[in-house]
Amino acid sequence: MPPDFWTVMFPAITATFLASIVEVVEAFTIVLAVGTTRGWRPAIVGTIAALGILALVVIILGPALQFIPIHVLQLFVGVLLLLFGMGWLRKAVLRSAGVLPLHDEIEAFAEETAELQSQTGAPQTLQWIAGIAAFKAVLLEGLEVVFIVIAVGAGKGLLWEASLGALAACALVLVVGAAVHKPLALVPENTLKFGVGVMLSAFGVFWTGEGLGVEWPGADLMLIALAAAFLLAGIGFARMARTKFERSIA
Amino acid sequence: MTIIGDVFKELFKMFVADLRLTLAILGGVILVAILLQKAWVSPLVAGLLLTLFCLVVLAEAILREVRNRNHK
Repeated sequence: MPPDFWTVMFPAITATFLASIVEVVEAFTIVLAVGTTRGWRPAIVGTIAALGILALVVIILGPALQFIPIHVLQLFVGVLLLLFGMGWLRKAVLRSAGVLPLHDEIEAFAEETAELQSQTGAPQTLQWIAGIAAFKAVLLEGLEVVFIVIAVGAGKGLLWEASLGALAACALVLVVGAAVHKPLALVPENTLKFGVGVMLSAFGVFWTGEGLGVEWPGADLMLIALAAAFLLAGIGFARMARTKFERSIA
Repeated sequence: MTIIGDVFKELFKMFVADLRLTLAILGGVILVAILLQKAWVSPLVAGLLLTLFCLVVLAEAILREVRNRNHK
């Protein structure tokens, strides 16, 4: 086992796995709506085409980042992770406090199905539109997964391990989705988003700091302390936001 | 073309979910970089400042959204 397994590799793979579950569940809802409304052929073709493009982005961009000096790369990736992770954490805190509504997969499925059913035209045109809907959903949701895989993987040369985390999430959602054959509404999307927001924010601060020349006490162990700080702060902020929000509407 | 437009919109949304939060984070990183460059703070203090700054701007972004929702 590598010496930094628990401090870097495990959090990196876990973050990509959990983030991918959130995104793949959302994409699966749309693909399921396409499959049940217009047949599985456009749904599968659209999904495979989008997955191919996403895989190509990882294969091209991932190794290319190795040519950038490590401090520059850590600063660049760190800042992007900070922006992305804190954005997710902010949204998850607001949802957990009841300020923003939770994402509803059943509603998303109903909306997509209604939109597909409202379209008119020749059967081939409808199949084409359905395929594009599946393609777009997988591509757009997959973009976030690709970013997380590349960003988390590039900072410490864990591209393949991070990709494995994302692929495992895809496989899990597909297997469960194929078994239940309905939107995966029971997945605790906001809790996962909260956890991933915490981890990505911690990675973001850590790598931005390293890129700037910060000497973290305990080196990689500091990641755990940073994640704990963001977790405790996030829970505290959610309580504070809920209290303020409920007081204002009372 | 719509798909390419949507891809760029999605990429923008990924990093700029809240413009003020994004600008505050970027400002904080630049500030810490200047403090380190001028050697006004030690590398350890710079790291702690960056962490603290991120937590403060996150709290501000959350409370601002609560206030905005209250006024709607």
